[in-house]
Amino acid sequence: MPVPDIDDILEDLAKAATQYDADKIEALSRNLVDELTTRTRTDPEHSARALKLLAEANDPDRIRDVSRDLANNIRTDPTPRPDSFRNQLEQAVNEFNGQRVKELCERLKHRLRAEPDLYDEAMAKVLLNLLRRKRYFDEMIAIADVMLQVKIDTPSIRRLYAQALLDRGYTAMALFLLKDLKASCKRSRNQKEHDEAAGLIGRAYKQIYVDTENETGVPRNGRAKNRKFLKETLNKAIEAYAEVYNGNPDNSWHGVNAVALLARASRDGYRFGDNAPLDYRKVASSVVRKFERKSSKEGDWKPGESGSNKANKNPLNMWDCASAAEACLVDRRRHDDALDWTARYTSERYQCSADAFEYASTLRQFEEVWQLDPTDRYTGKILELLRAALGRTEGGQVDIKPGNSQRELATALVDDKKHFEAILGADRYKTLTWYLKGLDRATAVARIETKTGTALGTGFLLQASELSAGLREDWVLVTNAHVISDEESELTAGVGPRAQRPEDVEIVFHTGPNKGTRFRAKDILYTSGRHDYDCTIVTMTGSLTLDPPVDVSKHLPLVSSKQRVYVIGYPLAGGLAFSIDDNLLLDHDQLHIHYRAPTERGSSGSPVFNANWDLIAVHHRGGEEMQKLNNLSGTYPANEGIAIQKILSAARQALT
Amino acid sequence: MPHVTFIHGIANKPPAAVLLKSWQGALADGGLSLAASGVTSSMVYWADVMYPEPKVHAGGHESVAENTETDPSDENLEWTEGLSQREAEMVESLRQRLGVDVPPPKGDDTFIASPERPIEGAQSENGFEALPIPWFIKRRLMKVFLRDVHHYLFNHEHSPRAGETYKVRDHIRNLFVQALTDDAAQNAGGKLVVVGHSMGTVIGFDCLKYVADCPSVDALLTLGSPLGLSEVQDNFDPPHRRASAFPDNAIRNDWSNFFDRLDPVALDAQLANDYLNGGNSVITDVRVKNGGVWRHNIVSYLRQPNFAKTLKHALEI
Repeated sequence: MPVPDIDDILEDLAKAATQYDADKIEALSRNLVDELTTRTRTDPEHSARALKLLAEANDPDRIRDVSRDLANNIRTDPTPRPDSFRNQLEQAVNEFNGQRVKELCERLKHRLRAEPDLYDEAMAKVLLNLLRRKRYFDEMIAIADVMLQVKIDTPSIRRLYAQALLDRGYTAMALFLLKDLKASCKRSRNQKEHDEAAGLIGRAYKQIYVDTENETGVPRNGRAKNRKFLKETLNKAIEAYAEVYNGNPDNSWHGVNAVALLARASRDGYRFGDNAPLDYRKVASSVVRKFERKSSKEGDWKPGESGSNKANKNPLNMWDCASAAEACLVDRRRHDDALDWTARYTSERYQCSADAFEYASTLRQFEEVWQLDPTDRYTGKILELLRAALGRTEGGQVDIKPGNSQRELATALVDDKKHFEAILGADRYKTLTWYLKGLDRATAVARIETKTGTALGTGFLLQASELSAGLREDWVLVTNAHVISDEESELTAGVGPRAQRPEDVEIVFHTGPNKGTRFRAKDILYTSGRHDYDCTIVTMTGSLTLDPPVDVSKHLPLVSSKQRVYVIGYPLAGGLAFSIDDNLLLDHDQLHIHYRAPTERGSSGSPVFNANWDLIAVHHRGGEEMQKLNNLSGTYPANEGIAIQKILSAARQALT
Repeated sequence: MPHVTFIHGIANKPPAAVLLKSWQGALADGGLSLAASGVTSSMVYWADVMYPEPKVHAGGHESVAENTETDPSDENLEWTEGLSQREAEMVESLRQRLGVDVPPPKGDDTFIASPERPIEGAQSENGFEALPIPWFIKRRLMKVFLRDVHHYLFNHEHSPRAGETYKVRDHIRNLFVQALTDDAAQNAGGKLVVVGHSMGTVIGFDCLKYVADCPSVDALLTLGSPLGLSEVQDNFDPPHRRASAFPDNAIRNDWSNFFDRLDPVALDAQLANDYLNGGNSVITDVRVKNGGVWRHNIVSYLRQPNFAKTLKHALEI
């Protein structure tokens, strides 16, 4: 059967549109959709023409259907065009949608094998770097491997492949690749890739040294049997970095790595003497001076200052800041400058802020090579800044251990405001008062467990007067109906979690004045099933106290102004956790509220707060394909809460 | 939904959107993010009536000078020449009270007062001499205040840019009334509150009291207001009548006034006895203590927990 020509279909569709022949329009548009989406290369021009014709035919229903089909097909298209695939992958990566990333990579592998010419080196690098940014190393290895198989075989692809192998711990394999790569780049005079390969060779040997030393230890008396091996490994790492730096001192990153290893060698008792390939103290000073000069020349930020350089045309980049921070570590007297450089590196206010890959690399370097002291007033904060930045760029859940120590941490951090700002990475700095208010809110949040301690979900205290002035109790606990219920439909649910009866659960607080007691749920005051408001409100045994109580917001936040929501709960049966990053409010329809905010199983029943720490909703579910609200078509990854005002209104009515 | 209409005060400002965001941010610092509470907000922006172009930096929140950035052109008092007698009397009186002409010690224009360097024989009422900011900056700020008050109350013609001339009070009244009309139309019956600072409080009061088609509001909150000055009260049109000065047709509920005793613009800071309603005192005067060297700073006022609480109450959120 001959393949129909799309232009012929469009011509027939145009005729049908002018004749307002609805049946023909439907049949032709179906043909069109099939054709457009099964072609190897979907021409957006065809899609646009089709939709234009349907618009002229004044058929909004057909337009909506065709648009949705086209959008869905393009999304699930087994033959995505490179540009659109890149966009899809970028979106999935930025949304921390691991499942989607995996699916897209599977399709990409299939496509690479089916059409090896579809992707060129430039696009291949873009895709691998996207995966590298958020540390999808397994996927990176799989994709790069297929790329090399189908002859997208270039030095940069090999280098990225080797880098992913290194990050996954396949150090020996990475070394084989890199040595071969370095030699071939030297032959072909590809200096850039040669230096990159050399740097990674340095990194490989560095990792071998650190891993071996961690496992076997290095006695200072030099009696370890592997001491010679360790020294040789360290020397290879240093030489690899130093070769690049000495060849071109603009390669500061390599110089700083050599510095780090020589400093480490000195601490570990290895002496290179005159054989040391560079004077590490001198190189460290030179690197710091270089970046200080760069920043002062441009009228930019200097260590010790606050302010943003977003207006600067030639700002310091992320590697400049990381290198400067590391170089300052050589001299204890400059650890405060190291902290300032790290704050700049990790603050979203500066153009040199980085992504998960960079923060993980720097954190690893500072922990494993420099062995920074986490209790030191400067290096401790440096590590905290990096961990927080990594947490933020990896998807935003900050775990706060319960107890008063967190108040001390918060206070200590905010005394040093510019670094506090960097830690939370918010659009705007948060005050100490804000942070402490969040900690206060946490004292209202409890973990709901079975009597044997298995976590079921989260609940929180509200003043009983929010429901009714006539209640004897001072406090009630709010959670989801799919966590606690006495309705058969919830207790025996075939799909999704099954609720527990009140008498079968216990309630524990991990922080605050109610910590230490296992409370029992007593009577259900109100319940509404999981397909309705998904909420149960219970009274509790025992004497509870809470000060200040949770405030309930009268209104939901404005959707248009990029508001954030904050969730406190017990995700994954773990400890108390705050979701304070990647937490944009997406939409609401006065009943359902959609937001990002990292949550997991166990978060069911968590309170959802607005930026004033006023309660706006009860978290009840989340998913990768949540149907959008307000009659918008399509789905998106989102979490959903039920508006507290709706719940309270229903509960008050039920109690009268 | 509830809405807050802000109106700014003296001196040049950054662009309107930047200014609004900075006020919203300052409030959030004090614990009240309006948007988080479902409250919309807007800014009545009139700086472009007085200045040729907006200030480039938001200033204030990060600078050591705390929003005391000035321009050399602020020194210009040429407009005081050729005034009517009434105008000249007002200007002279206010000039004295504000300390505009007080010379710096030893002629040092950059002199900064401090407790360790007391100045004897203070000539101003507003503590001008003791303000711990560079002399030339506080002089400029007082001159700016003097000019803005005069130009508004006397509906002076002013040309901020070539080809544009405004009768200041008429034009700003139009801006305020139009803004409030738009805000009232869009907030679907929710609470509507006006928050004014400095000269903005004079404008807000003037419109609510004396402009017939100005929409009514649920509450008025004033910060660092010079409405207590007799030089201001005596020059409203129609004349100020103390016993019935409260705009009871335009303010449905409360008027709360926040002042810092060391705010050099909020002279005669307490308003309760000057704006009575049928002879009764109805304004709530709230004394606050702003931090920093420039107690007139809007950021400090907005961050006051008392203020956030009052605003929440007025908005019923």
